[in-house]
Amino acid sequence: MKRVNLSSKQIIIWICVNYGIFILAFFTLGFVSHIKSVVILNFVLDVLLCVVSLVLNIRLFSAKYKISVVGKIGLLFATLCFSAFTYFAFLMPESGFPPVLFS
Amino acid sequence: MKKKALKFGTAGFLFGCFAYLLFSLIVSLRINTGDFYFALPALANDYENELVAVMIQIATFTWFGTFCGIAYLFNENVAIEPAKQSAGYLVSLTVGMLPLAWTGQWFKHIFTGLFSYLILVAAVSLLFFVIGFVKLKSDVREIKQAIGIGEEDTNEKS
Repeated sequence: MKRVNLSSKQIIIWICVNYGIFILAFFTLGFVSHIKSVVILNFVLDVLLCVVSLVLNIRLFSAKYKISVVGKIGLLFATLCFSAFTYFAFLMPESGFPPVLFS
Repeated sequence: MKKKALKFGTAGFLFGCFAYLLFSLIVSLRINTGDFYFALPALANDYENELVAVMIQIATFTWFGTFCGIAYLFNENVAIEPAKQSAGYLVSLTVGMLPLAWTGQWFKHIFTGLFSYLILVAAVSLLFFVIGFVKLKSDVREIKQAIGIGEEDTNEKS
């Protein structure tokens, strides 16, 4: 399989697009959270976006991309924030109640 | 390196003072009772002494600011290899956040603490990235003006 070569600018744009889709999807699908299948779809989409962003972040850490360390670390930690948020929203039991995904 | 660390640390300390002032102002405006809150009311309740709470809050902000300055120094110093640069940067920020973790009781609520840590590192890093980007752009503009590239462009347009 041919590996796609992306410039650092394209990778950053794709990561930002992923963040945008994450926020948009989370709040749009969140309005219909009483439907179980939508909750599962929201969770799968969020996990997928986090994984894709994480892969792009790891690729950005390659020595061939000459952007500053803070940019790379900042984007990586932003992705980790989104991942933690997904865990918090779907998988974390709260006040004795089961997680949203398994309720 | 030590001299530079002192310089950046001092700048960070001053930035921490400014951040404390801004934070207190926002908290006072948010509580909206007409009083100026030098410390968070919850912190004053915890320590049962407002003066101690104020000192702790100022120390937290200035400590964090100082280590942010040192972290910025690691970011600027491209002479060291990227792995060491990243490690130095992250260690500086983490050490800077220790008083914040203690004051904010992050260890009692691990998930909230972890989330706060991630958000703060991401926010500080993205802020430094923007500062670096703006600085780079202005340097490029200055170099262009010095060699006369910018002037030719403006002359052609007019």
